[in-house]
Amino acid sequence: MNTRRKGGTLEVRDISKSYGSGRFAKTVVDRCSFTVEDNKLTVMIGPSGSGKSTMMRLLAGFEQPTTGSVLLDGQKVTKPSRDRLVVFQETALYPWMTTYKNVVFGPESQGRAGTKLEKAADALIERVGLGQFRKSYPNQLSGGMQRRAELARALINDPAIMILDEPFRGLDAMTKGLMQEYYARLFENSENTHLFITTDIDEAIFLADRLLIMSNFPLRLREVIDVNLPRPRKLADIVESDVANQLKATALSLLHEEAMKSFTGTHSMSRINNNPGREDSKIGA
Amino acid sequence: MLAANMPTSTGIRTMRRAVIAIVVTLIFWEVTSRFGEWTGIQIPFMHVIPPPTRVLAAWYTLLGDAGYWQSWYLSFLRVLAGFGVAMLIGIPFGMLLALSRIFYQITFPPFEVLRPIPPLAWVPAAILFWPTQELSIAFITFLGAFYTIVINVIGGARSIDARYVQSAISMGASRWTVFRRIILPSTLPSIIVGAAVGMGITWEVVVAAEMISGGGSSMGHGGSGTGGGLGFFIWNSYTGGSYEQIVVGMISIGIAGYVSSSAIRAFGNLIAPWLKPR
Repeated sequence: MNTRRKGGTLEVRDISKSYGSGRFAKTVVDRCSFTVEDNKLTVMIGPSGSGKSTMMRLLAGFEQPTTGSVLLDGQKVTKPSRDRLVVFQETALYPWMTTYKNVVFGPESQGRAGTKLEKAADALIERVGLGQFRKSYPNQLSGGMQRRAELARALINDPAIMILDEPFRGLDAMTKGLMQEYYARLFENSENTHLFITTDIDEAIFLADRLLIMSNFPLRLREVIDVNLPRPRKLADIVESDVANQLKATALSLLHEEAMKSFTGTHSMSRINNNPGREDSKIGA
Repeated sequence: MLAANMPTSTGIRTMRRAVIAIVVTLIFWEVTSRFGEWTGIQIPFMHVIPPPTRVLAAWYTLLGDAGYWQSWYLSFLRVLAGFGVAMLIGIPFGMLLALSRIFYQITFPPFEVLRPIPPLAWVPAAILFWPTQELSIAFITFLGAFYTIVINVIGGARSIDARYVQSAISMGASRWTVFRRIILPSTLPSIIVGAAVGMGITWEVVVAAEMISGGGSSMGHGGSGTGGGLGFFIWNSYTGGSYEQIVVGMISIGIAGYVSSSAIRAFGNLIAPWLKPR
């Protein structure tokens, strides 16, 4: 895999997304700006239902923002592309294809075939630990194996940006921990840019180079926190790290504030209280 | 993999229960049917039905009758023709309805008006439309399966998980690739369900059509004047007063329908191996 292309920088410039029109208009993303830096693992964290998945669809190009623009290395994003691949919540493996067929789907769609592709795919399937399950259908794989197959299916396309939308949601705690460590190693050995969306603060701190803390619905950027923990990381080290715990406390208090809004209903006022100046604030660590 | 580990005793138990259920039903039938003969007290409804022993005896003599097998052959032929054409036209038609909004807006309203018309209401019109009676029956059989298949294809093609299509497009798949490798296989389970249901309706319709139309033009090829399909075989037995043969005909249709749907299920497992229960 030494032909790997470098990652890219994804820039989100003041985008909003509304559904419906007139009185029924509903703003899901509200004047949101941030940058997903090249070669880094950026984690976006926010309460459930805050509009993160909508943001994912905008970044992937499945939907267009109402206002503002998304730029990849300065180029405006207008449609889905292999540059920006998504690993979805739950599994989006094709149930009618074996692990191998799922993995080679992207290259085959590009007209690639032959022993070179076969070798690359087999190497990748081996790398995600599914060598024995090459010919299994997704419903014959466990939840963790499905996620790994899906990582392989995205990685073989060598995207500039990998977007992972709560990929480990629904896994049991043990499997989740293993998958996080596994995924961290995968990232550390790659040169792609990753954007990882989650609601889990421990997962976020463990994985992130940069942490984007999002406001509750409608979605805006609340804070950016740099996570300067050494790599390679281990879950056990993070639990004991004072820096990590300090970061967690800071992030949690922000998230708690946002989560409380959905409890007390004040989030409906957030449009009026909207203060774009705060979006530039940064807490270093 | 797990299915192979299923304890075989479960299979034997299932089999044993099925056999017991059939035997008990047969005994009940025999006793209630012959009750009047034995005691002089007739059991309502059941006393008109010939007992299974007499039915089996009649069946046994029919096994050597070419006309009986000709009936099987003709009904199967009509079912396969109608069903085959319904699949051939219904699948692409349903796909078009599901995927093209304009085609849907133009075609669906007339389709929905025609759909509630029972296939048998088409019998007189079909006889007028088609040059031969054989074609009329095939047409009515076709109608029986067509609507069910189309509705299932539309439902299946429309309920595709959007993420499948989105991820395929992201990975650079062309529209044709998305159709062939994503939409078609994900609609396949619905197509198989539609085919199985449609096959059942086809058998219902073919029998009625044969009764009404008098067995079709190929009558007389059989040995005993029962060469017009299983529906005509039953009707002929009724007019001829052979009540045992009516029951033989009915059970024959039951077996034929069962064989047909089993074939579809087996074919479905073959072309959609990922649906097999683990």
